[in-house]
Amino acid sequence: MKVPFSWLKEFVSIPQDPYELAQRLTMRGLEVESVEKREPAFSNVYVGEIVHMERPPGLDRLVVCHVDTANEVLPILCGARNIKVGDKVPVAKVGARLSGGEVIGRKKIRGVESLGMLCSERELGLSDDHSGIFLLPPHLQKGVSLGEVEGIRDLIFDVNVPANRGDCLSILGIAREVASLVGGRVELPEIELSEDEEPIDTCVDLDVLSSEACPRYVLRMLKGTSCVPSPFFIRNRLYMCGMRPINAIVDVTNYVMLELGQPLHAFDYERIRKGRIVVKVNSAPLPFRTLDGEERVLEEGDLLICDGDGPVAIAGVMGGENSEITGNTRHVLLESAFFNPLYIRRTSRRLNIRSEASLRFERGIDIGLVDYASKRAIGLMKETAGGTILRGKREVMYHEGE
Amino acid sequence: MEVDKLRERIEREIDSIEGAADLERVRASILGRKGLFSSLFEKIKELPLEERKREGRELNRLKEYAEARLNELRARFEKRGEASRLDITLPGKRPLLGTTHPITAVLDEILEIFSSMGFTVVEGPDIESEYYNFEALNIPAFHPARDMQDTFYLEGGLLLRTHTSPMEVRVMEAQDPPVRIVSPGAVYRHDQDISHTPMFHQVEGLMVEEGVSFSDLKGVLTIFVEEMFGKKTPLRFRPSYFPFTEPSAELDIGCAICKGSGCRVCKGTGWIEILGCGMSHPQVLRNVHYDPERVSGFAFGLGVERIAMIRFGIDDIRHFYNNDLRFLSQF
Repeated sequence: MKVPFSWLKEFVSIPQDPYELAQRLTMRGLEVESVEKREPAFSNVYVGEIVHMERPPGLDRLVVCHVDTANEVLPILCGARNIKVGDKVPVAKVGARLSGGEVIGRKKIRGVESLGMLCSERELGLSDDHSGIFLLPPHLQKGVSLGEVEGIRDLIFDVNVPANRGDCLSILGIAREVASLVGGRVELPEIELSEDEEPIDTCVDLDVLSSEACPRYVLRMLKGTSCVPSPFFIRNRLYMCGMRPINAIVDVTNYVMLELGQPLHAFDYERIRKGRIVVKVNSAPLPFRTLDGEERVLEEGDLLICDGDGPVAIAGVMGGENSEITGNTRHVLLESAFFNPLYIRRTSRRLNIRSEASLRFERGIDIGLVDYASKRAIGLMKETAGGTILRGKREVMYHEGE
Repeated sequence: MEVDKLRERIEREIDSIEGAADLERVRASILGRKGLFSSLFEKIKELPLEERKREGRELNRLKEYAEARLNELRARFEKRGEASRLDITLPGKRPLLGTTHPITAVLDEILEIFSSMGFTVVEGPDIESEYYNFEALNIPAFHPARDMQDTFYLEGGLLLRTHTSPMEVRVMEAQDPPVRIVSPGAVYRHDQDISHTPMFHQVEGLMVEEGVSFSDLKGVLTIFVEEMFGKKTPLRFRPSYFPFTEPSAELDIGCAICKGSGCRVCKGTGWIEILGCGMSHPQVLRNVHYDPERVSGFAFGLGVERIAMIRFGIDDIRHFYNNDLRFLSQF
């Protein structure tokens, strides 16, 4: 399990030197196999805020952005379309070096002076994205050196989690362990969702036919969203943890899984037939195409997620192609559940699918966190991809108490 | 070429023959497939028909003559016998002597250390049942711990043992406590890279009797490390997890390559893991009808290749099995 130090610090305050902490975790039975340094590939780039934009006469493609970098306001010519006054952006000052080795100089185009450059993610070596200027989160202080921002400069612990410590397959889990070491506490923040008037009950029905295979199942729904790419800092954390970003909806499910240890699955609501989800143990062999495009055969005894007509996912192992999130997805149905580890293990072994989700289900997840993770994810999806959260949830809980 | 000159040359060569070895050499150079006559016959192919006939006849006659002379010589040599040509003053040819394979050498050393502490050496089968390899060791079907080792399965519920731990069960089934054994042998896992081969060797250790504690485990293994790697070797017991021991630990020793400052072999940590160990899980004891309330025990399993690599500073486990004499003859 890869653990970015900056992420860990969000859950627990760590007074110690990270390397000493790694040592102590190792002697606690959570062997830190390596501590990888993540460093910026650029220098002399700062957080700036665009305070004014003007279009100089004779330059129809470029605008002059006046960018406040705390101690000075720099005029910078820029051709990107995705910026507006008030945005926080990376400012490569004169003398800055970009990831490709390019050094930024003072420029003058048709008499208009430019003292620096606003950068895309690709120019900073942070990702392949070159579609526009890298828009920084608003909470970053202007004037701060971007290279020192957490996540851009970071340490990544590679923790070897033993087979009996499924509870440590998340940032939260590792944070709990760290808290017990340094004498801190880990508290999960309360989540207040701003929900719509429309209740989820009118959109989807839920039946769980096996309490033994699936003691808890929660559905929430986000309407009117769009499949945009996620913001950099979410993608960055997925990268650091060894996962590949896809789009905001899928990324959030993975992000929350890494954060809390609860695997999540998002369905395209409009592809769920008859507005109905049924969780059941398969009784006869069935062909099924998983979202990796493979044609599989579901055997008797596999735990399935079905809609009104047939299977849409192999519970805890892999979703189906027939219901996966695509670029056109507008409404998202979010599954958060506890599946019996034996079912997941048997099926994932037979199909030879070892996913991050199946790994966690096999080791046993926290049944008390199923609903919390659902709230966390649906809230984050709304924040990153937009849309409205339908009121309430659909839930089946055979498990006693929280 | 003129026939006379050719005859002269053949005579000269045949006259110079002194022994059977010479004879064969000259025969080859004159009559062999790449010898004198075959190249001459090759050449006359290019001549006009008449000339070819003539030359061919002469060459054939000459060839028959040479053959006759050589056969006569051979008969003479055979009669005389090679025995009289043997030079008994020559030094003899030394046969290549094998040396002990480094794995065997280290294994012997390991067993010697534990024998001196009263452990008996026992051996067991490479082909095991799922029961002995997993279930009896508290690893039920579909348990995540089965992931820790990639198994070669055979037909009929059999497999190639993935560790020597099944021997713990076999020994305890066969005898009452006290038990004090070490069991060496080959184990098999589906894994191959710079530090893994599909077959490697382990030594299992088990000590069960009344009152065995974790301090006994630490004592025995500390003596082992001191004997194997020297008295001043730094070591630590690091908590870990195995289904068949509780509590479990891994034993690390200070990296001998970088002396603790961090290198590739120890992945920068300054420590190298050499074995897994722990107190026998009560369920394992119950599985062999021992009473965990009355007896307790500890077990350990160490990788022989790993110990040998550290011991000799070898950085790639595959060297052991490449059968390269330049490597093997160093031991």
